[in-house]
Amino acid sequence: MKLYLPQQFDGNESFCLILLGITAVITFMLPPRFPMIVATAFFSIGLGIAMYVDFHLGIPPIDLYRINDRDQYELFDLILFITYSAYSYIYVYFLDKWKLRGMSISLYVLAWTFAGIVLEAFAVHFHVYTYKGWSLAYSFLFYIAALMVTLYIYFLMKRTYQQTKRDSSKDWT
Amino acid sequence: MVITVIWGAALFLLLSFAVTKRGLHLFEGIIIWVFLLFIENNVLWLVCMNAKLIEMTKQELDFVALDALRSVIVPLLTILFLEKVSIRERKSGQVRDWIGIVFLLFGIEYAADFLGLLQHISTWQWWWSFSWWAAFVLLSYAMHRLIRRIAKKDVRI
Repeated sequence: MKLYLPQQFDGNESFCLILLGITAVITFMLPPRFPMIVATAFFSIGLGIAMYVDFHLGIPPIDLYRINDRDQYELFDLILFITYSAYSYIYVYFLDKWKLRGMSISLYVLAWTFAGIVLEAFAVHFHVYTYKGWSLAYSFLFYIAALMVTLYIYFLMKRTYQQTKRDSSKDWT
Repeated sequence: MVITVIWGAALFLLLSFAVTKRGLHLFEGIIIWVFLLFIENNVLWLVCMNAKLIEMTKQELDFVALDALRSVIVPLLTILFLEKVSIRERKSGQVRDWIGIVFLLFGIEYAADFLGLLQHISTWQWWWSFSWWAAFVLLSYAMHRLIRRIAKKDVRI
C-alpha cells in the first residue's frame, strides 16, 4: 500500500507545482485578516469540497475523469487538493475585504466561477485532468455550486463568530 | 433497498445532530469533519485503488449508499464520540466510550461488507480493520484537542 510517485515528471506535475507555488505565495503575502480558527476553517472548506467531489466522481464506478498519470492515488493528487484549499481561502478573503453586498456578490461568484473554469481548462491542457465523460460545462455547474456553498458558510461563520467571540479576541467586521 | 436504509439512517442522524444541543463549536465541527473525510478517504483510496485489499462495489446505487457511510455516518458518530468524551469526568466512562466507538466503526465496516457495499479480499485480517479504526479514533481525538486549543483563543466554547 503506497502513494505512487508520477510515472513521468512532465506537464501535469509542473502545472501542479506551479499552481501550488502561486497560491502559496498569494496566501502568505496577504495580510492576516481572519482569526486563526476562522482561517483554518476556510482552508478546510476548499479541501473538503475538492476532495469529496474527486473521491466520488474520479473513481469507479462513476469514474468521470482521471487525475494526473494513473487511475490510482498518487502524490500529485494530494498536492492538487492543497491548492483548492488556498483557492477557497483567497475567494473568501477578497469577498470579506471588499465588503461586497447585493448584486456585486453574484458577479463576484460568477467571476470566480470563470476563473475556476479557465484554471481547469489549463489543467486539462496539461493532462492534470483527463476527462472520461466529464466536460467543462459540468465544471461550470460544480464551481458555481461550490462557491455558493462556500459563500453560505462564510456568512454563517461570520455570524457565529460575532455571537461567540471572546472580548479579548480579534475583531472581524 | 440498501441505499434507502443507509441514507435514511444518515439523514436521520444528520437531522438529530442539527436539532440537538452541541458541545462542539461550528468552526471545530467544520475542521474536524473535513479532517475525518481527509484521512478516511485517503486511506480508503490507498487500500482500495492502490493496494486492492478491499474492493468497492461496482453498482452505482450501492456506491452512493457507501458514500452515506463514509461521508455522513462515520464522521458524525466520531464527532458525537468526541463531544461525549470531552465532557466525561470519570476515566472508566471515557474508556467505555473509546472501546465502544472503535467497535462501532469496526462493525459498520463489516456491515458494509455484509451488505455488498465493499468486499475484503480473502487474505484480509480482521485486526487490520480494528487497528485502522483505533488509529482513526486516536487521530480524531488528537486533532480535536489541537483544534479546541486554537479555537479557545478566539471563541467561547
